[in-house]
Amino acid sequence: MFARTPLAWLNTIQNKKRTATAVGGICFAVLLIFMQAGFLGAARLNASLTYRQFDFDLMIVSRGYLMLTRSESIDIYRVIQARSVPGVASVEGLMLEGGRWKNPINNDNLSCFIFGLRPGGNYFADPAMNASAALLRDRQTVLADRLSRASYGPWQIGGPAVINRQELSIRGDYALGMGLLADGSAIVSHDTYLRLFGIPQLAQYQFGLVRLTPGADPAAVAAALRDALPRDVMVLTKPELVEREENYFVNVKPVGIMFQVGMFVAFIVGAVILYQILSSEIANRLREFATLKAMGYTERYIYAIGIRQGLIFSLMGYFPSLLLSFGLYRLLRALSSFPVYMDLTRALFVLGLTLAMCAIAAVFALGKIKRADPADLF
Amino acid sequence: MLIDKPSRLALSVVAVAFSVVIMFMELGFFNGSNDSAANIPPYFDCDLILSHKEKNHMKTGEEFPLAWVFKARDVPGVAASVAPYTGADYWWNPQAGSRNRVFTLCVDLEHPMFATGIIAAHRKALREPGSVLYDRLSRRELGKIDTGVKSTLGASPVKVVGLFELGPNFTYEGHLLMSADTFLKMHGQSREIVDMGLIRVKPGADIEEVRRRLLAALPPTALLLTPAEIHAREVSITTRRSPAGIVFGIGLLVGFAIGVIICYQILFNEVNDHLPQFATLKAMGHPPRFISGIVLHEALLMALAGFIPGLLAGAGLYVLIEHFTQIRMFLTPGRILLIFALTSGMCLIAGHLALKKVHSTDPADLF
Repeated sequence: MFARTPLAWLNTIQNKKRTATAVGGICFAVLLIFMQAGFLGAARLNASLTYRQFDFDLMIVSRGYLMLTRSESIDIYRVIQARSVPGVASVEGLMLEGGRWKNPINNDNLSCFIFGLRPGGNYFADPAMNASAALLRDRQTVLADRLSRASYGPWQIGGPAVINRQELSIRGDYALGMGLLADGSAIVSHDTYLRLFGIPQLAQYQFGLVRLTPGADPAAVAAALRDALPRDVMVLTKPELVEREENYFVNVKPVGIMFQVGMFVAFIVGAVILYQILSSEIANRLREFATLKAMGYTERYIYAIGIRQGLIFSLMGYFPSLLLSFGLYRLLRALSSFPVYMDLTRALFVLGLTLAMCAIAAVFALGKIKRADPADLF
Repeated sequence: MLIDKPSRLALSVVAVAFSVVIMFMELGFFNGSNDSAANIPPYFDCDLILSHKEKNHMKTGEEFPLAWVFKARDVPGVAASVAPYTGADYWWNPQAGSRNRVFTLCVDLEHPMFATGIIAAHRKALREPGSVLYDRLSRRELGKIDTGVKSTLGASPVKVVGLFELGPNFTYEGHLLMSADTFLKMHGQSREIVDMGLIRVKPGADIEEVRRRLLAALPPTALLLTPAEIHAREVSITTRRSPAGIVFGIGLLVGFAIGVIICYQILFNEVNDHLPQFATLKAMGHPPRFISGIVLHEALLMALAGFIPGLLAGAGLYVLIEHFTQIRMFLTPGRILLIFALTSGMCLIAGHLALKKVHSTDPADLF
């Protein structure tokens, strides 16, 4: 059924000022959803960000492993044992522990996650990072994280860094950023790591990064590793680990839950605002709708007008808020070094929510039209 | 004028109520993050807290020798000083076998100067090595824990001999109290290195005076703060340093801005519809102030009408969030007043914006 007259559109643009305020209201509700969705997405991304930078097919972690920064040590023999399992190309041991970075200006101590690795090993997906890590052969040298918070104070390649009250020399940098987990990070060699934490000898890693021979099936090798290694470790594939990490952060940690609740409330608020706008719009035109009804137009036709108008409103609200949220995200990134980025999935997801909001509001608002009895009018 | 159209009134009230809920929610997150991060200081039962100058919040471990704590006792005006030990460890869920991070606070059983009543009630049981008090409000992931449950902390077996209430925060899923002896044995840690000293001054002594004397007697790297100052510092660290504080702070601002826009939209429509009446009032010679008064009065009524359902819904939302996150959400009278002030401010700003329209109406245009 085609509408010869685009009635919904004409209704919308008839009273421009009213429409502008209505769109403003919707725009802000959508912006609120964008904000909360951005937080949630950033929390999710943040949780697995580190693992996405590392190059591995399977990961050996301890039985008590909880999340990246709450791992437990594994015996170095697990790494050695894993090397002899068929399908395994290489296994590298990685250490990770929270340390303290000293701001040279105000002497503040800031949280810093220290990665301990074997210089020359292939740890990262980015070859440039592997090349930088190879520079750490000398003792008491470190790579600094460009995405550490500004509160770390000034530092430069070739200059000193004070971590855990020990002075290290900065040999290079990389971009990782710990987001919600810590103020920043640093990479050192195994030897330097042991010194920083006063560990007498290399006996334990936190992670074993397993890479497979070309063509090997990750699930099959993971099963073989689980059989070969004692029960004190777990073997996870990369997707399993990423999924586990994100789930832990979003569904278990309070921050993730708060963002979810926030998004839900924003959605409800948006639906209520939209309902309010649509229903006052319909109330104002009740006579016109009743007249249309009396003229013999079907209820479906009139419904379609209401729904179309809801769609027009929500789309008119969506696009400006999409633009605004780019600015909001930029502001958030600048203020909190929180990895909030706009991506297509999020834009589409919020568009979907906006349309759902519109549908819910329209269904409630349209109840009025149904009750409009032409006879009441005259 | 407000009750002229009941259906519109209901909608306006709902809209205001929702922006109130959004503000409550963001403020709740903000405070939940701050309160829970600063959950320890309110339980200090002392007058001054000694720490290393570089220790910028409770969870960093700049340490100093125990000798400082003893030295403090010689300073005139100091009644007693003790050193608690703190640490983070992993608690094994005795049912599921999973592991979670807990904060352990270890006190001198005779002079705890921390949650004194709780320690006194369990003093005898805590003397037994390996016995701990468990925070009943810790997250469910830690397991079903009651008095008598045996579990593992790090690598050591522990037994729960009593419960207390504190609540988890964003960093730690639970809290434990135990004797300093148990803690030191468990970690093989030296008694001589501490990170805090709790000091009580003699009754009647001036705290500021004692603080000056202590600073003079102790090495220059010593820092002395009152429990209230420690609390304020914890909150400010969370607010400024952690992204969570910033994120929820921005959320609160955006919630407020949205409230202004929604209220403006409602009032604008309201004014728009009553424009002939306003113009008539103007034509009748009422001064602009009288008309402003009506609109602002209307705005305030709207704020009040929206605030009450918003408060109720907000309180419900807090219970819900508390249930899911187990972060304690406190709805104090001060916070309720703050939101009420914000709501009134929001409606008044919106009222002023809407008034521009009224003042620009020319009675002559109408007739």
